[in-house]
Amino acid sequence: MQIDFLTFEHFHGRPDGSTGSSLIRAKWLADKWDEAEMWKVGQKSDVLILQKVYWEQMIDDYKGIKILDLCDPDWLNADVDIVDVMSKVDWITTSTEGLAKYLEPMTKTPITVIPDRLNMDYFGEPREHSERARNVVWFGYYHNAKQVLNSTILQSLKMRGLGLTVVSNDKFEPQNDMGVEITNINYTPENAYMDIKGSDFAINPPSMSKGFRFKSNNKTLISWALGLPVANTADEMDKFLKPEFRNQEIEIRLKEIKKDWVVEKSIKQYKDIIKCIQNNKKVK
Amino acid sequence: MHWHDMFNALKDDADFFLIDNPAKEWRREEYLAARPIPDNVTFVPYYEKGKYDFAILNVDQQCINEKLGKSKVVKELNEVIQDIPKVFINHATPVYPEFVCTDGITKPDGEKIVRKMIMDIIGDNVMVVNSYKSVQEWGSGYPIWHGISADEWLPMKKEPRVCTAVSAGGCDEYYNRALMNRVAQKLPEINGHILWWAKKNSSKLYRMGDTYTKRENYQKFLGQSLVYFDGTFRTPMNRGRTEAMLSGCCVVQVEGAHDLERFAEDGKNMIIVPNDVDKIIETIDDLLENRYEEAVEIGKNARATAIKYFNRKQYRESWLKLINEKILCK
Repeated sequence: MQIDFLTFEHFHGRPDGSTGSSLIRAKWLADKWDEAEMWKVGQKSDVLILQKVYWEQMIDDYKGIKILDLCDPDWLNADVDIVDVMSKVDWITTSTEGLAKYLEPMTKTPITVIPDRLNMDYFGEPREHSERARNVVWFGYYHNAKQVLNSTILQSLKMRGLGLTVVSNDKFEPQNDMGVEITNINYTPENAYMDIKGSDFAINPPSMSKGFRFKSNNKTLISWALGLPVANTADEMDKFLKPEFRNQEIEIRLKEIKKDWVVEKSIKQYKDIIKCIQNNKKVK
Repeated sequence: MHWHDMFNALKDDADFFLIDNPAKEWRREEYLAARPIPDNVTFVPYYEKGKYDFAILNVDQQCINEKLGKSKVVKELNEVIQDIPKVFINHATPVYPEFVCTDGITKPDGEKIVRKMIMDIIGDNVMVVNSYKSVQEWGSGYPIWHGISADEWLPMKKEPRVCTAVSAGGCDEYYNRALMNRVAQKLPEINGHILWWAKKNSSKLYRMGDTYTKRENYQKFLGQSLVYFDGTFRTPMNRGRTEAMLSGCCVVQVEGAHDLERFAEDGKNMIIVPNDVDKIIETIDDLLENRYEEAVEIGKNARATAIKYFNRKQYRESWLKLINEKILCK
């Protein structure tokens, strides 16, 4: 059986590795799944997983099993009839419970949550900590940086003598930096993880935007895999100033990743879904 | 070339299966918007072994630019299709300095780089090009001139205006766009005539429709235009120019364009001008101001020439010959 991942990145002609969701939800799985490949134009397959791709002509004409994978509600603002698209596929997967719950009333097509998980081959040795923290990192799309890195966060960093590194697709230059030393690094697929790893721990403050309720925890998982704890509260920030607590936290988190957050689990979920669809088709 | 012509020219000879792809310029909706799709064409979601006799892939110099969707389409289809002969239609020339001439690479060296990269993609597959000059440009290839239905492009009573359908953006050097822009800028300074440029400033003239892809409106617009200007000379056999010839326009063409010596006669079926802004605007303005009847006559001759050389019969026969002698025998 051949399984193809048709990604948002490919469909929109973006450079390889430039789109986080396509990397995390397709490439990382395909690399670990013998029967799976990244879709190529003209390639025939038995199963097509459309990663945030709403290509109705393909969905209409493709004769094999079709799974629509959704990880953010871009269709809320785009020219996509998501209810109609969902009705034409065999199964829907989502990255979060929130997204699944939102969509469930709109469709009879089964929905399964397959969270963002990690392919550990993409992460080297985790960072080891030996000194007091001097710098924290935030990474992600620039438009999110503007929303979440507010004056309260900056003030909090300043109080602790912490600098901020922003790894993003554009420069984060707040009107008032509160005296925090901000280093901007351009996000590149090749170097981003090395750049992130240069800091002592990560911050990942929640956004107040409406779409945030559907956000996955992938940035937290990536930080952990790189050896960086994620501080979500002031207390955690204080705690992670000390290297021994950072090392301790990472030891725990790496075990958690190994148990719950590796792509092998997602592949198993997909295999179960495909088996289920095949069985249903046989019954019909 | 336009696929529409191929589908129609070979409608009694072949069925075509178009593999859906996500490249913006080659998506199904682009085909559907441009022309009615004839019955011998079917869109398919993927390639299936054993179903087809040979494959046709479209390529141009931009296919070396991995940032463009069409480069992925060519690369991936070339990988996927391995069991049948492939023919590449290379409808460009190796002019792409915007992409390759960085770090001090000269334009001639840039063309060598493009030539090599494209020929590496094509490999030992059959390559069709649009002109005899293209064979020289690429170092190999089978030239097939396009074949357009004369019934689709009809001359009408001419309005004293000049137009062009040369691409309005991208690949500036290839389209000699600096000259085109200067002509557009300077022409009105003489007697107020405007260069109506498809997809740039002329859509309002189509009235009933809104874009160049509204074919009927464009056909009418072209049929009523007295003069058509083509400032390119590195593009092989512009289809827009042939449509203008069939529409009875008096074509003003910059010298050096591909294969002119094989069909064009200066002052009889075309006006050939040097690559010089002042001489071009002077010529166009003179035609619009003082030489209406002469321009109409040249347009009539242009239509006859286009019917003689760029008809569907010759196009079909050229393709059938190539298919039988070079592709299916492989």
